[in-house]
Amino acid sequence: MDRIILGDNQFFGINHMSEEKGIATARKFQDTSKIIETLDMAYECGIHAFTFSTHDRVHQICDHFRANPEKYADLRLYPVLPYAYKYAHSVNEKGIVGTIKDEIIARSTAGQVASLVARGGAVIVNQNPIEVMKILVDVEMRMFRDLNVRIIFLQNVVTDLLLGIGIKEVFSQFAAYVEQKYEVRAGFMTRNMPRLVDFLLECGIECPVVCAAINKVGFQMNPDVPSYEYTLENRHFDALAMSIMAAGAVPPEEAIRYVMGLKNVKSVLFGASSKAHMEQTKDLIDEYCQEVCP
Amino acid sequence: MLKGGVIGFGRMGLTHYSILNTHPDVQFVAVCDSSKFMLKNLKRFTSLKLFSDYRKMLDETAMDFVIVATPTISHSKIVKAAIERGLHIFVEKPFSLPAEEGEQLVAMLNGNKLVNQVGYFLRFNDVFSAVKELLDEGLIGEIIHYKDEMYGRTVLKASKSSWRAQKDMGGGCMLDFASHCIDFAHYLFGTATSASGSVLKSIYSSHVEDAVYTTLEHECGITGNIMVNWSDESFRRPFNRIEIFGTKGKIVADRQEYRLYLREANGDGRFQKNWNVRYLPELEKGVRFSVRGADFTNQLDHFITCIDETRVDTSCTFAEALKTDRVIEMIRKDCASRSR
Repeated sequence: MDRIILGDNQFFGINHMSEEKGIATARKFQDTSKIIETLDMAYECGIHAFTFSTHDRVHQICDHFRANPEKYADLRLYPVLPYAYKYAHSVNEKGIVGTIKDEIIARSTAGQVASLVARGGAVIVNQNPIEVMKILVDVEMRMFRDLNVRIIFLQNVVTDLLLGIGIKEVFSQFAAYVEQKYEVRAGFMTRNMPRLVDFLLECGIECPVVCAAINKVGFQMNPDVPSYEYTLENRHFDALAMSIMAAGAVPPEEAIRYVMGLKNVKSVLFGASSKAHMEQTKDLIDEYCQEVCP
Repeated sequence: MLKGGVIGFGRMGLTHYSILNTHPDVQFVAVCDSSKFMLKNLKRFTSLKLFSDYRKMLDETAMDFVIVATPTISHSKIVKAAIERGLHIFVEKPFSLPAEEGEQLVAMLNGNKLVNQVGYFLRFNDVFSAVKELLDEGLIGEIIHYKDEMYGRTVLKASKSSWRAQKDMGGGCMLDFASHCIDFAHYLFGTATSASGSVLKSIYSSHVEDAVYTTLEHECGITGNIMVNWSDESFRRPFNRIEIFGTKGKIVADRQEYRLYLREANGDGRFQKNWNVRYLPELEKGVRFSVRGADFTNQLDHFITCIDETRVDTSCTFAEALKTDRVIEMIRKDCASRSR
């Protein structure tokens, strides 16, 4: 797992501090070439690992990576799926079940549909949510074909919704399918890390990968900071920390010293759109690691 | 341990189930839905009692409370049946139209100890709660006027099958978006007594409105504009904003931040003269379990706490939500009278 990963929220108008700032950065990045420029800036800084939600525009970015294999020879991707807002209109129109039936099958390839039919077609879809989940993973992963994928993450709203419902099979089967078909580990994004980690361990997923906001002030950390610190100290899992500066509430150096000092934190996921910010974050993390294990 | 059931297991029903299924005082025992897929899979993975007929569910299951998350048109009959069986009720917004039906339901509640709440979750947002406190403190002086907005990209083309596109099912941007803004205005400024200059626009839908613009006047004399549009593609997700103008300053707030402008610094040093900005990371309080944002957990935990503590006169009651239903009717009437 990479120690430093660049996130993609800033490209698609997501800003945890301010919706207005989110809208402003979305304007800045509405031309995909601006996103690629920023990714190249990160790449030059030595950040070669990126998370991408399965936003429709990520197709174009992946096409660009595929078209320049030499330039991106050392690229490592961490997809996050699904990008739920993509399906929001369809869910309003057809409901959840209708969306699964029409939209997702419509987005799958002929091969996937053929394999679905071979496995029992619509009957399977009607009866088995695990099969639906597998089709959904394949549909969403298609844009990353032929690229170096390291971990496939389940997006936090979906993870947390399923966590609350508490069906273990969905989690264990997701992890098993991702490992078997894509030969990578499954990861889970969440806003409820302590509960999720315990649940994943109960599901029999050994040393799960969990990505969550981890910061000194408790922003997006439910229920609270002490529960997160306890889980990090006492459970066996790999944590990827995001929102480490709590959308600006914690200064960079303090933020990095805090998260990197916690047991089980293997990686920091951060968002930046300027080279100075990327360099600063990378330097601070490198410095800290040098200091701890020279 | 409180035993609960969910009627309507769509997007909101699932969300509410997920949030309360993790509550230490709650055990879900039954679900009612019209989807065979849902029922089949709930049967496979859970030990819930499952129904496709809500009356059967209410008759055959011992429960303390029920969550109603069906299309608006069916709220009235389901809520009535639940009151008759003495259940605490959380119902999705808007409450129950036409308002006459809501009035009957509120009358049925009269005097009994049933907790009753409607899903206006903006009241439970940490930024908006902070705004309410600023207003109650009188920080911006006498309130003159407000602008209460909600925008989103829910409907971007003509819909064929969704209940949200059918007027008689409770579809339309009025019930989905404007209801939130009206309830929020009631929460901040008290009851609205008149609507004027109302405009309902269809943009992509043929049978319902996609945008609502109106001016409300409240009992206390405060006036404000409600502006909602669910066909605005430029918004990534539903967006709420309120701007409140007072004699000593103004507040501009959305679900993630507020900006407070003061003509003079307040006495205790918390706020300076001119702009003061506070963001969600500073205002947000953690919740025991979050799905799709803390607001949803706050509202449901409030409901459960009220049951535990036998408090019935709380936030977002049926009586409060009925006021919003009445305003919705006022706006429709105002619009109709002008287009005649």
